[in-house]
Amino acid sequence: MNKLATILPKVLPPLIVFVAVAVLWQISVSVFAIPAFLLPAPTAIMGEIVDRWPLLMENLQATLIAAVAGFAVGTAVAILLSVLFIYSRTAERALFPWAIIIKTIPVIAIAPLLTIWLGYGLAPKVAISALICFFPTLVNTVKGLRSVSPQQLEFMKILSATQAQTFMQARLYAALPFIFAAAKISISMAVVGAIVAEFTGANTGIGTLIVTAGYQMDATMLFAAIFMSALATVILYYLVIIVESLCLYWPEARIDG
Amino acid sequence: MPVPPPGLPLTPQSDVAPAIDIKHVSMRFDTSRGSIDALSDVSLSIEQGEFVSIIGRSGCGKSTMLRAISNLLPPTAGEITVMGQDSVSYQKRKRFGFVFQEAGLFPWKTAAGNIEMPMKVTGHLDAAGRAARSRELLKLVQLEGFEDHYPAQLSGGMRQRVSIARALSYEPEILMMDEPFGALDEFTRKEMHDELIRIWSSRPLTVLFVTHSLTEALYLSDRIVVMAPRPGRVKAVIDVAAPRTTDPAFRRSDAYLDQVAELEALLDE
Repeated sequence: MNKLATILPKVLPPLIVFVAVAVLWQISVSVFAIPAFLLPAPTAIMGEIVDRWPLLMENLQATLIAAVAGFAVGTAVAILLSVLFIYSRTAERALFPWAIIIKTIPVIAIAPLLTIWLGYGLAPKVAISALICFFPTLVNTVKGLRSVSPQQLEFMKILSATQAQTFMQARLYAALPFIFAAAKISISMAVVGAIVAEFTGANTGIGTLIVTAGYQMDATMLFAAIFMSALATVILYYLVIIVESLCLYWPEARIDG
Repeated sequence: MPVPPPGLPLTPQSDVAPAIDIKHVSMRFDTSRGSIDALSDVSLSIEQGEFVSIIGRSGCGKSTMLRAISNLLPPTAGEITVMGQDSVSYQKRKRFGFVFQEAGLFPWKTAAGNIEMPMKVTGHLDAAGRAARSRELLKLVQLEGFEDHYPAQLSGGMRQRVSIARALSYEPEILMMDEPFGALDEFTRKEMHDELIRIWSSRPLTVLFVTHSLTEALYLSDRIVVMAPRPGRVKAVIDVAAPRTTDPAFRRSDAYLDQVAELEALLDE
C-alpha cells in the first residue's frame, strides 16, 4: 500500500495525459467524421492489432531478431576495437578514420547497396543495425577505458599487475558505465536500422509491412505496425536498463543520470 | 641548517641497510617546450622504521621523488637502493604501500573488496585468508561494520582509512603517502594524524610522507626533507625536535616555534 502511494504520483500524470489524448482522438475521429484511411480511431487500430496479431508478430519477430543481432554485432565489434585502440596508438590512427567514414555515410544511402550484396534475408538488416550501433559504442568505450584515474593505474603498477589484471580490475569497470550509455542509445537505433533495411527490400519484417500498407493507403495497418514496433523498442530499451542495473551495481556508477 | 654535500649519507651509517638510499638521482622530462628538471642530483638516505616527510612548493618534485623510488617513473640518472637492493629487484620480492590524495580507490569495489584486490592481484593468501585479513585491517583502521560500503558511501576520512588499509594489505615494508590528507577538513585531518601514528608504531614500517603542510610534517615525522623547485632538489633535511609529541604546551615552546620559523624561511627563499 505504502509502495503504491510512492509510485502513484509518478505514474498517474503521464497515464492521465495518455488516456486523455486517446479519448480526444477517438472523439475527434467520430465527431469530424475523419475517414479511416486518413486517421483511424484508436479503437480501430487496437482492433487491427488483435485481428492481424499473427501477421504483426511474425513480421515484428523478423525485425527484432535482426535488430538485436545487429546491436550485438555492432556493440561487440566496437568494444573489441576500443580495446585494440587503447593498447595501440598505431591501430587507432590507422583505423579511426574508417570509423568516421562509417559514421558519416547515411545508412539509408548504403542500404540498397547492402541489399544487392547480401540479398533480401536477414544479413543486410543485421549489417545496417550493426553499422548504426558501431560508432557511438566505439567512441564511448574508448573514452570509458581511458577514464580510469591515473592513481588507479599507478596503484596497479605498484602491485606489478599484468596488463590483463589491470584491464579486468580497473579499465573494464571504468568503461561499463560508458558502454551502457551507448547501448541505451543504440538499441533503439538498431530497430530503426533494421526497418530501414526492410524498406529497401526484404521478404519479411515490420519495414516491409509498412511499405506494403503505404502502397495500399492502409493507415490502420500503418498505425498498427508503428505502434507494435514502438512498443517492442521500448521493451528492448528496458531490457538494456535491466542488464545495466545488474552490471552497474555500485553507487554513482551511471554517467547519464 | 647546512645543505648536505651530495653523495654523502645524510644519517650516520649503521649495520642495518637503509630503507631507501638515493644517490645522485636526476629526472628529466623532455617536452615540446624543452626539458624540465623535475629532480636534479638528489641524494637522500632513509633509515628503516623512520617517518620522513617531504615538504615543498608545488612543482618541486615531491611526488616525482615518490614515483622515482617506487619505479613508477624510472629516474634518468642516479641510483636508488631499497632495503639493500636496487629498486627494480626489490619490487620483484616486495611491493611498496602507496596512499594517494584521492581517487585512488576503486568505486566498483566495497571497502573490503578494495582491500582484498591487491592481495588477489599479487597472489597473497587464499580467498578465506584475504577475507580474514581485510576484516583485521578494517578493524585496525576502525572501520568495522563498513566492509560492504562502497567508496561513494564513505566520508573523505573513511576513504583514506580504507586507502591505508589497502596499502597495508600486502604487508609492505615501506609506505609512501602522497598528500594523503590534503583533501580532508582540519578536524578529520588531525584525527587521521593520530590514527597514522598509531598504525605506524604498531608495526615495523618506514613512512615517506609528502605534504604541503608544515604543521603536519612537524607533528608526524622524525625528519623533514625540504625541497625546492626549478630544478627540483633537496634544499635541507631537518631533524624534528620532538616528533609526535601530544603535549599541547610544546606547540608554544621556543624549540617548536624556532623550527617553524626555520622551515618557513627555507620554504620562502
